[in-house]
Amino acid sequence: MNSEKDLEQLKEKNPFRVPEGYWEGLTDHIMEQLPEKEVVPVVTRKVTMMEYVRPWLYLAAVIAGLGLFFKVIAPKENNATPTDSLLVNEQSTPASVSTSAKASTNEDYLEYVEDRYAGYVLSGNLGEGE
Amino acid sequence: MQQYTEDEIIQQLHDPTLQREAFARVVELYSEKLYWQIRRMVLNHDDANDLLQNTFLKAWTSIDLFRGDAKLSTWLYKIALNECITFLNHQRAMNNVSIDDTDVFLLEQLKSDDYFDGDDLQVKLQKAILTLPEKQRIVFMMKYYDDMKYEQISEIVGTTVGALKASYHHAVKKVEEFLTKDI
Repeated sequence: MNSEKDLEQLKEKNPFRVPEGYWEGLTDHIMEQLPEKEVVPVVTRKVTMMEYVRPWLYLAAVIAGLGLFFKVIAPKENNATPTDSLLVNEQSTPASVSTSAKASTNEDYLEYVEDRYAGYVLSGNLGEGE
Repeated sequence: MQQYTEDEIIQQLHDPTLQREAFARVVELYSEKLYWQIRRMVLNHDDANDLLQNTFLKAWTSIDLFRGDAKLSTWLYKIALNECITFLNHQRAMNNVSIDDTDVFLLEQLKSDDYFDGDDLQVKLQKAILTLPEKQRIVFMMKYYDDMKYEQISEIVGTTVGALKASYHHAVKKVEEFLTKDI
């Protein structure tokens, strides 16, 4: 027995059968068994103008807020000059200097006036005495 | 019926309004091929018919998951094959057959099937096929009867082409040996 040849020959013949008319109604029969699928309607909601603009409004508000912060609040904080800042010493130094200078100027002025008019006063007093 | 390409059918399968109509085309195209694939695995007509229905039912319920990465026929063969394997496992459990034993018990069912006209040599061939391990049997049937390409079998079975070639070669040898035996 040539098994290789047998195998090839056996392939040619299909020993299986199907009932008469099986193929004719098969597609319809299979389709009848399938459940109906629920068609979910796609609801498309109209986006209002406000909904569309809202994120941009929020963004604009945030930017405006930040702008206000840096323009108005931040410069004031710089002018407030914290006490541990070097600027304090630099700025306070001329103030104290001017105060002490003012004080010394007053003293000098008084001294000057005293020196200037002391002679007149004294000479007047002496003249009266003469 | 109008002819559509596979891509067009896949597109229609994902359109809820055309889905059922497109699926009817799929059934029309593949039902016969799938039937024979299943029939050769389970041998009995009534079982094959039930498994064919189940295959299309499974395909229908999971059609939304099919993205078209594989061919439609490959996807359907895969579902059919899984159905057959599940069915055969159930049959083995019913007949107290261990997983290592052959499925020769199916031969008894074949002999009593009204829709089997094979002679002794055909019965012997079916018996030889049933002595093969399950995976070898699947590869043998796909190649021997349907002359399927190894690449497609590889996609269905999930084994490399090299392993499939080896499997088929062993299967053919075993079947030929079995046919030369006097039983």
